[in-house]
Amino acid sequence: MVLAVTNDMKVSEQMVEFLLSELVLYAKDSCIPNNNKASAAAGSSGESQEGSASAVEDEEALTIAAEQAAAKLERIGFAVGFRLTERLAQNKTWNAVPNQDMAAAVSAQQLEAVKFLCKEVWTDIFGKQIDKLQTNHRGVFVLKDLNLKWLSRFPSGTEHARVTAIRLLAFPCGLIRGSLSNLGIPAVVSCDFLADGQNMAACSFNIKVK
Amino acid sequence: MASASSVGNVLWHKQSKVNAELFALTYGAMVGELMRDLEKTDKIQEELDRMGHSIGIRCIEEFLAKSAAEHQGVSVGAALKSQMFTDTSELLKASLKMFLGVTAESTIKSDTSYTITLVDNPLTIFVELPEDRSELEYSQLLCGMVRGMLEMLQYDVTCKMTQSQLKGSEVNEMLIDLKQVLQEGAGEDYHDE
Repeated sequence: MVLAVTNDMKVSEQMVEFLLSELVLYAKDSCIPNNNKASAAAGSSGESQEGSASAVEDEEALTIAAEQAAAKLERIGFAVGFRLTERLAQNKTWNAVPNQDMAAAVSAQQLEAVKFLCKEVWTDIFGKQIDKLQTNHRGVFVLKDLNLKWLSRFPSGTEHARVTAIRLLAFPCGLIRGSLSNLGIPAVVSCDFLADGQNMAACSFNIKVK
Repeated sequence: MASASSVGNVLWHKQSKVNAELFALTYGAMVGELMRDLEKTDKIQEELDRMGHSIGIRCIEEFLAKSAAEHQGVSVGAALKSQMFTDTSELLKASLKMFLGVTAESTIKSDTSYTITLVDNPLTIFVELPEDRSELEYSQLLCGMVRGMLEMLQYDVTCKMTQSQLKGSEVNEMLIDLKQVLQEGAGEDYHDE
């Protein structure tokens, strides 16, 4: 059995977006809030069934479920980012800058990896580079994409769209973490949704190298 | 009126495209997650089919809307709806082209049944089935898509993979069988006697 040559194989962007939206839904639906467990554990006499105590547990259960769903998506993103970068970085040579002290060398290496992510990897996935890269040269990087493609079709202003967008952003966080991991940079990645009423597609990814 | 396949080609050319590898890797990671969550092969396939169904509905809607726009209001879909079930094979091939970039062949088996054959399958790039999962129909998503697309065209069908490259066949083949025509109020298919 011959596997197809893949370098030039393409699919429509919409197909990726459809798949992602099923993925986000799946992550959400497969992480059910554990309401029953929470209220059973919290009170023995059934008092927790009444009033505000139960509402607080419901909130907590919802939050935990949302976190689990995000972790699931992030994990999937990690796998994709890691493998994609594996192939993209195959032919890359890394510049070793001579005559630098250890800290500067580490910092330079991290920057090169992050730049590779912002340019080559981001372009492979989104057809464009990261719009803005900032760093404190001490292991913290902020990447801004002012028009994340996957969010650009979301209707602006509705709460449902905002919640879905935030859920979806766990995936690119994972992509980034996976990509950097493949480049030898373990990190923690979080995301801020920069959307105001108008622009639903602006976000910033915060990378802290471990 | 333009043929469905030429419409498929035109729409494919107009679509924004992305590396199929991203798609394949995402699908693969998702299947991996399903394996972890659901464990049983048939449950995994059910879920893939369900997702595909959902995607298929969105695909055909998009296809019909864009193909109508292409031909200034003459909807390829509407024209084909009043003809035979087996004509839907043309629409399916055009949609597969538009979204997956793949050129499919079809073989009519009977008035209520046809096969769709694909050589290229972007879902399975770099994929090998693990030995303990040799039963899994990895591309079940495609079957769900077909089911969803045809449902929007008022046809209730079963779709299953009858040949799979991941299982050693030369090609990927889906068999589509019509179960029933769905009545849409007083549509063309429905005659009051």
